[in-house]
Amino acid sequence: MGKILGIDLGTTNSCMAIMEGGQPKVIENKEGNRTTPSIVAIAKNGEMLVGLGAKRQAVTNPKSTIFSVKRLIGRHWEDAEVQKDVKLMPYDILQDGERVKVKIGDKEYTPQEISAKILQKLKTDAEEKLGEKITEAVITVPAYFDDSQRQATKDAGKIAGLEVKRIINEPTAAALAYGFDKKKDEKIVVYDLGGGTFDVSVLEVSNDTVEVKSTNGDTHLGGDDFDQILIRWIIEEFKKQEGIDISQDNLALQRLKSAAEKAKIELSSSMETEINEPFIANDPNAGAKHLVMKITRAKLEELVAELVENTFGPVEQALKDSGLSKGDINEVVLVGGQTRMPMIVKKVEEYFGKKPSVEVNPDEVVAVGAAVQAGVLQGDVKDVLLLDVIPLSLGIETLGGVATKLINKNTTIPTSKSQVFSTAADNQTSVEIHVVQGEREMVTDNKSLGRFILSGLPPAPRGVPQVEVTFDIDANGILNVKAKDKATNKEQSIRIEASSGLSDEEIEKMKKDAEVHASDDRKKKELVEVKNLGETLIYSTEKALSDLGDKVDAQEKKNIDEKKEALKKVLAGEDKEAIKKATEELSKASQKIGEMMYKQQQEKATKKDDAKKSDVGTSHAKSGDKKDDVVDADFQEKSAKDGSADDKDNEKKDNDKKQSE
Amino acid sequence: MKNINKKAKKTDSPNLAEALTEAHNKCAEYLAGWQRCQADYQNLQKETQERITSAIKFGTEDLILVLSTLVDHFNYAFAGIPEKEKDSNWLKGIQHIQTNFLKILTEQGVEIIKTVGETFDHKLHEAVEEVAGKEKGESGKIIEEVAAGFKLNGKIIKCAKVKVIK
Repeated sequence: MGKILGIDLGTTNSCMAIMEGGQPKVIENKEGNRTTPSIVAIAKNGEMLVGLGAKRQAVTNPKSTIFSVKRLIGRHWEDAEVQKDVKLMPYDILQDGERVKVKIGDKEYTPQEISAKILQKLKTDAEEKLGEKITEAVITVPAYFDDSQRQATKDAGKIAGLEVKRIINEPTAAALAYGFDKKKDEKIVVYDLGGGTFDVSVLEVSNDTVEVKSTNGDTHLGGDDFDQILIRWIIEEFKKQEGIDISQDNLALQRLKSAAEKAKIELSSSMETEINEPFIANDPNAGAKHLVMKITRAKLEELVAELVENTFGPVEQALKDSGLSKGDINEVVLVGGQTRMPMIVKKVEEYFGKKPSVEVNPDEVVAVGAAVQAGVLQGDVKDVLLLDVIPLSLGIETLGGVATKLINKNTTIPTSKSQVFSTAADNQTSVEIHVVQGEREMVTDNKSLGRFILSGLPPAPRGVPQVEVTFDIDANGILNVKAKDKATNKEQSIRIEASSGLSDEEIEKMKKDAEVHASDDRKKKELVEVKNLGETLIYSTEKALSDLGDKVDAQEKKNIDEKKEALKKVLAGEDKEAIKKATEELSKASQKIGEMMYKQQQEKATKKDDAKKSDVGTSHAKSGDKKDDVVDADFQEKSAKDGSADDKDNEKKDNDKKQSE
Repeated sequence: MKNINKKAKKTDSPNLAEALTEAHNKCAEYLAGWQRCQADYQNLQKETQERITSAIKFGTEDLILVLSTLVDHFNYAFAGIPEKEKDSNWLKGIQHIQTNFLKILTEQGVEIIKTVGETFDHKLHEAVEEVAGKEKGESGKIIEEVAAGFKLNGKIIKCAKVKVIK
């Protein structure tokens, strides 16, 4: 079965999305854009243009460029909206019995036919992108569309070669995109401030349906008005500063338009921006003038305050019509590019007393919702195979109490991951695997899930044994951790079911904590890493010294010993910079032995193997994805008698665990 | 004991058949789901590869777009050079900077879209104004460039804004 396309057929722009692997995904058009202008034209050479191409030539071809046809679709000639457009639109709108038609050249088209051209383009572009035929679609319409307008939209789909499986309301689609349809008895407000229109709807979710309780809006209020106000203000300011009116200069106005839009967007993320348009006026006689102006977010907010305020009249009315009060509303969804403005988010939040949902791109949320509906209709694979993700990262404790993550949070399960670790001390015969969960850098701040000991490692210098630790989580979230010594193939494992033992609140808290403590944790971890590096260097230096014995020059040895002692001293403290410095100094001093060792190696070419062994000591292993990377784990050396007792205990515990399952 | 077992078997048999059919159906359903998942995954892999290729080829797109405004700024500046500066060495220096800048862009795979004198093409140009022409047969030709357009490795990343003769 082919995929069903979700289409947001907008007044100014259209957008499309599909379900892929259980997730909605916006599809780019042929030009590589995520939205397509809802404009159709017949160019002067007779070519039919849809989208960006049509928009670019609109100025040269106003009579044959049809935009905002959504304002006409399914309407009657007598409708006030139609009569208004007849006066406003540069193209010809004709009466066709009770209905309307538009004229391009000497041909007449119904609004459905024009809309069909847009749908046709979306369909073709989607087919090209996906490499499969698309024959079905879900199309969204404004909540206030009547039966005639809905039927006309459906017809447009049919003309475009699409079977329209369902027509859904735009606010409903927005709610679907957020999955609010699953929340029974919720009341939702959708605040949609697009480029040219403002719509507000009140929805109520009941058994499997989303009902539009009321809708209101302003068909001529949108982001374009915000731009206009800013442009007018800049022109006035420039006049005050330089005494020149640039509103009469078309070139300057074009530049100003782009600059104002850019400034508006920048002010959504920063508090201040600078408009810098050099040579905005450049007359060889009058001299050059530059438009360089700082604009603060506060200034922009002051300028558009009235526009924002104007949206709350319709909001109030919609609430009243729905018979609900502000307090009854459970969720508020923002739709439309202009709602990215922080002031709008803030005002909406103030009005309803709750944070609006803004996570889904407001330009795409309607199309995404249409795709979600399409997914339900096509019975997407999601229903068969519901895959979970792990909410918190899982890992083990490594040298210095660092939590080394093996599986990161939000990884889809089932999954498994292996990494090779090594010992932290010479002749360490057992290692302890401490399994932890959480986002913090240090083990003590995370949740301990369990621990076990792998014993019977053959005695070897630190860093030599290779212990492969494997985490395996099945679809039910049950975690199996296995440690295997690669040399002896001895292995030990633990099965943990408690990874699901945390409540949603606890998980949220742990995630928040990690964010709050991120910088402190990083510092702690860095300190441990620096300490580990220092300790490794001391170890390898001592080993090298003892290997070389009296071949090292006495003076050299004394120098190294001094540096080594200095490093040991600072290692006892917590001063990261001091440790770093001491490590560097010892490293410099011990390079001399390196040179000597190298010489020795060349001399004893036959005994290469011996030299290699001491090399392992000096190389510092790092963690990584590559299977063969070795990480120093916090495998504390266990004294022989303690170890054996513990091992038995642990093994017993493990067995008990397994038996009890 | 034997009897009880037999009895149980008898009553179970229709259920067993039912269970078997159900299991068969489930099996087919799961297989389909699995295949779909595998297909989705393979498609994702292909798409990811394409994305990586394109990211390498067009990775500089954002940076080029930001820098491209300077092409316009140079043009705006040199559009009205004061008479007394026309032959100044200082101006020539600045013009050399412009030449260097354009050369750098070219080296990065940037091509400036041709405008004035060309026939308007909606794929390359955006018309911002229509102006009256002087001679016949000029209709549809570009008379002035308002903002330059650019191609990066053959792909149009910004179309030129132009004035077109009526």
